[in-house]
Amino acid sequence: MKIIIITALILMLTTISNARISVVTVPEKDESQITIYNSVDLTLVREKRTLSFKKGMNKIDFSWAGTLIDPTSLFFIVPGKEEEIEVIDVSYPPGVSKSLVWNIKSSLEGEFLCEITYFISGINWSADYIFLADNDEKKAHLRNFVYVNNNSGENMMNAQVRLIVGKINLVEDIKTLAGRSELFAKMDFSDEISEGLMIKKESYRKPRMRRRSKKTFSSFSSAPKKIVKESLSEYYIYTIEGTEDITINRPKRLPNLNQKEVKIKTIYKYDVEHYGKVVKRFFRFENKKKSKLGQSPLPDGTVRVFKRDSKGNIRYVGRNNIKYIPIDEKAEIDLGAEKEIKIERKLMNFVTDNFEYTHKGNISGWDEISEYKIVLTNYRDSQATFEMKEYFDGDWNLDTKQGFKKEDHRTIKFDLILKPGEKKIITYKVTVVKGNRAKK
Amino acid sequence: MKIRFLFILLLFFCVSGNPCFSITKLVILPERSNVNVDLNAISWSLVEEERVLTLVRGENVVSFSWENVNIDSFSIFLDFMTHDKKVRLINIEYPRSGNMVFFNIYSDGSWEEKVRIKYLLSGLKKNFSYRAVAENNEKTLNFQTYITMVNSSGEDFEKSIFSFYEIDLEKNLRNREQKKLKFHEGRKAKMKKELVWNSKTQPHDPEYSKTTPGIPVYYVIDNSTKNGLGKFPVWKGKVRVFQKDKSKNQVFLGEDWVKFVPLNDEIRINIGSSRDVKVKRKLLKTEKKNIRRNSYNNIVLYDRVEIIQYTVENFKKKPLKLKIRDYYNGYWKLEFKGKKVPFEKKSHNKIEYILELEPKQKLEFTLVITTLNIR
Repeated sequence: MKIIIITALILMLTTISNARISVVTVPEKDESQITIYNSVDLTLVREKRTLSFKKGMNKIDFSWAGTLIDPTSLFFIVPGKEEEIEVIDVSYPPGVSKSLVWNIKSSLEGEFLCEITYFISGINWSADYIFLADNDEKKAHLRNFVYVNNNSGENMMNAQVRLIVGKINLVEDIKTLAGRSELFAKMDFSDEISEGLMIKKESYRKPRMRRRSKKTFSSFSSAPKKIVKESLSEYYIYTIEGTEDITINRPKRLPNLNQKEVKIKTIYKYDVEHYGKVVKRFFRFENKKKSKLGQSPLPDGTVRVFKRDSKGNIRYVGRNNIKYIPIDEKAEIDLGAEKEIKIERKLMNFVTDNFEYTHKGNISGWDEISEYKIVLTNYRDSQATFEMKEYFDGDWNLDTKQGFKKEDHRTIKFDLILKPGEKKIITYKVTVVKGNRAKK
Repeated sequence: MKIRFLFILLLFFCVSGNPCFSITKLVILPERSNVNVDLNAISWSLVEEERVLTLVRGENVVSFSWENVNIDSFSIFLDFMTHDKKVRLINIEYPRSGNMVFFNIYSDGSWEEKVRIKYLLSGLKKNFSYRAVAENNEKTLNFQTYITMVNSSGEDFEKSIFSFYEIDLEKNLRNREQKKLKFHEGRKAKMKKELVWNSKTQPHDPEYSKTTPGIPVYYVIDNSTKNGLGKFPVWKGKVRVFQKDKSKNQVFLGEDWVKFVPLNDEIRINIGSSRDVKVKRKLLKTEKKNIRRNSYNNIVLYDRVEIIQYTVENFKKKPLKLKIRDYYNGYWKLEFKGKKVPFEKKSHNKIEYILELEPKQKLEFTLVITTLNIR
């Protein structure tokens, strides 16, 4: 244990140097809770310890050698007794690394449950997904896991674990602040670990293979723990049921979401500006109740996509990152290039026309007319929903028999359905007005 | 102790009619009391302390010296407190050795004299930090101001009064010690929460962003007496914002630097970003109108018409206030096409649309921005 709390009672306050009498207790943690953020390297630790107070001035020494605690974040309260037991000041004594003293004035005497909170660096969590699509790509089994890793230098034993989904604003790194515990010296934390200053060596034992004793498994429950979700301000809190030991260099992966029959749709896209000259394949789904989701936002993370084949075997499709998905928002998983849908886009004709001249005979404006032919072939044995975007700059006008949607001043979208084996031909003529004739 | 205040008995020897003197010995090393440190200035702190000197009738020399501390020697001054009119400071001598001054004092009698010495000392620093704890409804918060005194002056201060603004704090502060304490707390201060989407910094089509873009979220608090704050300005420092969850535990929401905020001004804290609100800005159409040409058929003057569509979606189950900040250059006019939304012209080229979004609301509005007389 690297965090040490010592309470001391001061009877006389003549001068600070001779008032402290003796160490009274080194109290154990009664409860602890860790709140881990995923957008930044920050964990809020809340410890509850029962401490004895006498009426008058009390001192609590708190030291944290070998951990990555931000000393400016340490905060002490006695919940419900804030008026009666009050922190008068916090002193960071000279010459003592990673240590502080709370000077506390108490009008009460007795034992009280106290709360100490602080920020620590080195614990992080991330989300990952297993996405198993049915053979017909209409439904999927979506599983989400949370992965917690502790490199903070402090074992978090028997702690309630909470995970924050959200992007907080942090103006200084906690790791940097943790290294600034001494005012006049730059702390080099890596040296401190290697030399083992004030750290029990077993905390940093190199990993090695060994057979686990039966005792290691004795705390297993019969079912995965529930993760309760609640919203707070712009964030979501995932609270893992019960308590966990989050120990150094022993990451944990816990199941979060396990939802079968999530409605999905396969979409093919051709969009040179965003994806290059390839047809891309996506699984699209909505984080909605009607899709059997929508209970909470889905955190960003890695998704590994699998698919059942016609025999029910599972095959790996690919891996990609998924963005944060709010409730009721649609999401797409990029599955990469699709070679079984072929696109041939050809410029068939190019004409310049409608020239205008200045009174000196110079060209001041003209039209450029381009005719395109796009051949789409679906070599798959299933129907394909296809979205194709085309971009035109300047003062343009489009002539085509194919229906399209104008997305903005330079983008059009064709929504197409390609039957299995179907070849579809789209033609369009675009006239771009150039020079002084242009009105856009 | 690095600052020494010595009372030295001065003996005169007259040799050949020419007066000369020599310092003989230390007589008293008076203890200091009632130490007051004024922390209001930035680089230098005014230190005032009291000492009792035993003066003899006639001339007295008192030396004041210091080691490993930085004192502005021209700031050192003495006030006589017991026999104000019967004790006079004749002059102050600055020996070449430095870090020492001699007070030449004339006393009308032999007695004990309480003196108050004042000097400017460097190395006493202060910084501010703030802790805001918002209620779950985000309508009110407690705003606590903390001052951290950092003593790198080289001098220990015991039972000293540290003054800042109208607050006096009695503290021990040893050399190289830092001390943090609560300076002020504004309880139940009213706050507003707003999201600000800026067309210069935010993606116009979030669909193509690699990560879900967040819209910056601000807590806005009036630093006024009426609002439970406003006793002091808010000095530059870091503010950390917490909010109580359902179990009344405080959850960290984010932090921001605040600049100096005078009384009755607004404190704005960017706590983080919201990813549950989506803003999409589309330029639907751009067109030149009212084209004027010269005799060479070149365009010399025209108006540009741009049709801009905003689509805003609140995925949250709570209402929210969103400001959309957009910029238009030149001589421009704005018209709404269809639904109107409130807006505020912030400057010649900056405009803010103010939207109050209901839970789960999707809102679309379209603007026609005409930039006139483009040459």
